[in-house]
Amino acid sequence: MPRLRIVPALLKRGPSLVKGPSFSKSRVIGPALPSIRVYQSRNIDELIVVDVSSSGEDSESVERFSWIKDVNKFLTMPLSVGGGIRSIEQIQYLIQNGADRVVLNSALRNDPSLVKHAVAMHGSQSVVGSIDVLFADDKWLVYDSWLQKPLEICLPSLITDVQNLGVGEILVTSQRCEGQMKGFDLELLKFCADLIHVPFIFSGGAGSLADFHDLMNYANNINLNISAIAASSCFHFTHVTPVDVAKSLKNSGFNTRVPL
Amino acid sequence: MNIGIINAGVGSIHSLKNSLTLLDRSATIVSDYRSLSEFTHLIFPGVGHFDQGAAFVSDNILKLSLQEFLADPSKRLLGICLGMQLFFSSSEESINGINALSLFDPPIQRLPESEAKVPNLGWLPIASVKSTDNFLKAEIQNGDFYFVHSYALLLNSLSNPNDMFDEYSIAMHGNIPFVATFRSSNIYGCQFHPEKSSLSGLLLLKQFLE
Repeated sequence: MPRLRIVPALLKRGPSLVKGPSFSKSRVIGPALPSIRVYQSRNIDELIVVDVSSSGEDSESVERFSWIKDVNKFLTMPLSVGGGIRSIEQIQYLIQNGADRVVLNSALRNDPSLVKHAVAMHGSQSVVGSIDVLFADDKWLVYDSWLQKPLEICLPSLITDVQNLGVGEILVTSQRCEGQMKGFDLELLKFCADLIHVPFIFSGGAGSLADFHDLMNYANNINLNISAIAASSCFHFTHVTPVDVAKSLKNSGFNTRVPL
Repeated sequence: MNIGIINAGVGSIHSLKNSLTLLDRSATIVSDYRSLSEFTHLIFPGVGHFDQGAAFVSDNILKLSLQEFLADPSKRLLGICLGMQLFFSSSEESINGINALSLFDPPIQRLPESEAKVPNLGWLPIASVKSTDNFLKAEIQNGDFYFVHSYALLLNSLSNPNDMFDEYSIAMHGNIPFVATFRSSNIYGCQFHPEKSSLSGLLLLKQFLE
């Protein structure tokens, strides 16, 4: 089986990276391209970049993603790109210019035919379905992280729909843990365990090495195979690097990739 | 050295081009398939659906030019991911049943679902089964390589891989071995993406270009 991937997730707005708790995009972290270069030099497993720049009048424009050409010049590791993707032209542009996968979030709900088209054209392995999740009224609901509000969609039904559309991997992010750096949402993990049959990336809440261990030990106990762990704040705001996580987990017997 | 990249319209040729630049090589994206003789090395990248790739290679001019190219033993052809799969005949991914280049007979098959999920997505180590030190040199295989695919050349479907290939290596999908790299005469293939496999990938590309 492939190694467990440790994946930094970056939010890019214009030339900067931004971050804030629970999907807020308030705080500017630093310049995007130099930060991405640092990740390249760290020889990480994969990078997720979600472009939250405003697309202005044209939500289907490819111009917003033109930065990928610059990144592609130096990046020799897998790259997944998302951020309000609305058109097959944007998907085509991203994949032709270096994105290994596109991350679709609102399109999963608002335009399933786009998802189908992307899968048909580029293969299921080129599409990541990203779902943000909120716990409210005793239920797991889908959360719209752009509009910052819960939706009347229950998680199991969206997961089923998304898998039927043929996406190659599902990224689940816990809204209540995201950006808090207090640990992963193990209850949500358990809830997803029986629902997801494709490769599964879990995200939201990492703040320390111990959090990653707690997550993996718990996943092990419930016999759940996670393909990758994504983290954002942890890598921005603490001294922990993706390679630290990979090495630390490897020392505890988990199958991570420790680069040469 | 003159490196050509075949643009089948599927996937990123730019990542590959950029990797070659990192190796201090420049490459031309082939536009005219009538003659490939100016190139010493051809690389066929690809990501996406087999049928799209098969439709692309069904062009007779391309087929003839490739045949001519390969007839010269000093020339080398490398297929990456879907590009590699198009060297074979058919794929279980195919909906319309068009054959690809059929340089080799065996079919490309869907990775079985098991404890290991499909698509096979991520970093895997590879192991050399038959080696000649031409393509996958010993030191290169120590790293992991990045795979992203749902279909593969399954080892158990090959009646005689040692006859078919001058050298090959495998990776494991759960407990099912599949071909990760191969070389048969001057045809090279890798199922993973060397342009996305960090240093190990660059070293392998460099080796192809030697």
